[in-house]
Amino acid sequence: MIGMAAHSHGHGSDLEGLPVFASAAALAAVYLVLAIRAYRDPRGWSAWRIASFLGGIALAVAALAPTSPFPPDDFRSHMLQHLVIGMYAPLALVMGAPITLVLRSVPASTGRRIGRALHSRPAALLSHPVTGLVLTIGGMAVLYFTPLYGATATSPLLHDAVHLHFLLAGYLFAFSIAGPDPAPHRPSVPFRLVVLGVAIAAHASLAQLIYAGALVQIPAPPVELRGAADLMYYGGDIAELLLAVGLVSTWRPARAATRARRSIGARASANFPLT
Amino acid sequence: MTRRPEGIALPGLLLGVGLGGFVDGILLHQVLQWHHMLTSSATANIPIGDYPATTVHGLQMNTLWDGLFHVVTWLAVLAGLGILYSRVTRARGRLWRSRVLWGWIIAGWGVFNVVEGVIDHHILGIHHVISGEYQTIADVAFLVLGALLIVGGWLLQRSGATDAGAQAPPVRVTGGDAR
Repeated sequence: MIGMAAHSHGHGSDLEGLPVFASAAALAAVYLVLAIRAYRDPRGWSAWRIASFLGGIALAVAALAPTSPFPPDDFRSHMLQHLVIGMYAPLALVMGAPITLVLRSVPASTGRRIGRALHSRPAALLSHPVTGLVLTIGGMAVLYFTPLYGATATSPLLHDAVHLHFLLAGYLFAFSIAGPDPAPHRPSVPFRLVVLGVAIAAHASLAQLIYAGALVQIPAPPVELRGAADLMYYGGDIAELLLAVGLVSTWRPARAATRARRSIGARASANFPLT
Repeated sequence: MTRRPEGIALPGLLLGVGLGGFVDGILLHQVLQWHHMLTSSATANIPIGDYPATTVHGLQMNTLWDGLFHVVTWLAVLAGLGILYSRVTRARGRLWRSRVLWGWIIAGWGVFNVVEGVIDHHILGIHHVISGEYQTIADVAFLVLGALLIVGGWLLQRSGATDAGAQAPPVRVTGGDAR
């Protein structure tokens, strides 16, 4: 089945081809080199993080390659891509803690600059869970409730832009909810649980509307709409459960205490980078 | 920070109820497609009408009720996490390796099976684990599994609580609670 699907991949195969895979490979290589250096460092670096980040890149690449069990132009193929690119891959990348790894690897002066950037107002806005919520759910609503989805079928550039939006918005949301990376403005766990609950409800409601074919402007037959909505509904559940697991994995009080000290230090004199 | 093991019983049970709901919702409703919420509504013990999953309207009603079921499941998981977070303020990393917590979660899964089974399969009869010839056997097996999970989970949490000193520091037993 998968072998049969390995012919030309609908639209956007040219743009999603070599450059994307090459940059994914480069990103993986950079992370791996830095991670191996950090691993040999006395402080060490978790093998789980390495596996998570490389797994995230592999997932995104696999989603862009023609690996879907459905025909390439089937709406279910697109939904599968969106699920992996917008939910699973970003969470795996976030759990790899790339910002922490970069802070460990760069000189102190650069680290201080990154630390200041993380404390800045734009960073606070971008890394807020509500921003991630609006970008992910709002992006999906715009895609499916307007003629935009139909337009992506004819414009490879638009199609790629939608994928990029899913990946970045998904990354921001996972980062703000569960990230092990430093985010000085990240709200409390109860607040993040509530935002996660709202996201889950909105995601499931969107899936139900797609299932019913109500309000949506997706040029696909009902059987594809229902199949895709099922994938979104239950595939989304599993991704959201994993996100909740990610959230509880960053509950450690030692981390919270360190973070508090870091942000106090940074606010006081900005002379101690977020290493 | 001293907290009796009972302190995480409620959040553990809530998490178990929610996760048990996911096993039912994702595995039985979706992957295996054994049943939906109202697939046996025609033969139910309450007069709610007939909603077979083969007609559009029937499917809509099943989808709606699957959706409500989904909301309850998620609320249980998120509320469980919230309460757990508010009650356990130290050694949270080790909490997830505590047998007390996992015992209560497994017991919560059993509670889900028993409550869902008794109400939906037996009292209301709105759906069965499998419709047809083996309906009763499957429904009873669902209850037996639930009972086993409750007993197993309870034993597991008790074994964790007994050697809490060595096993589960986040829920250290206070004096006078020694079993």
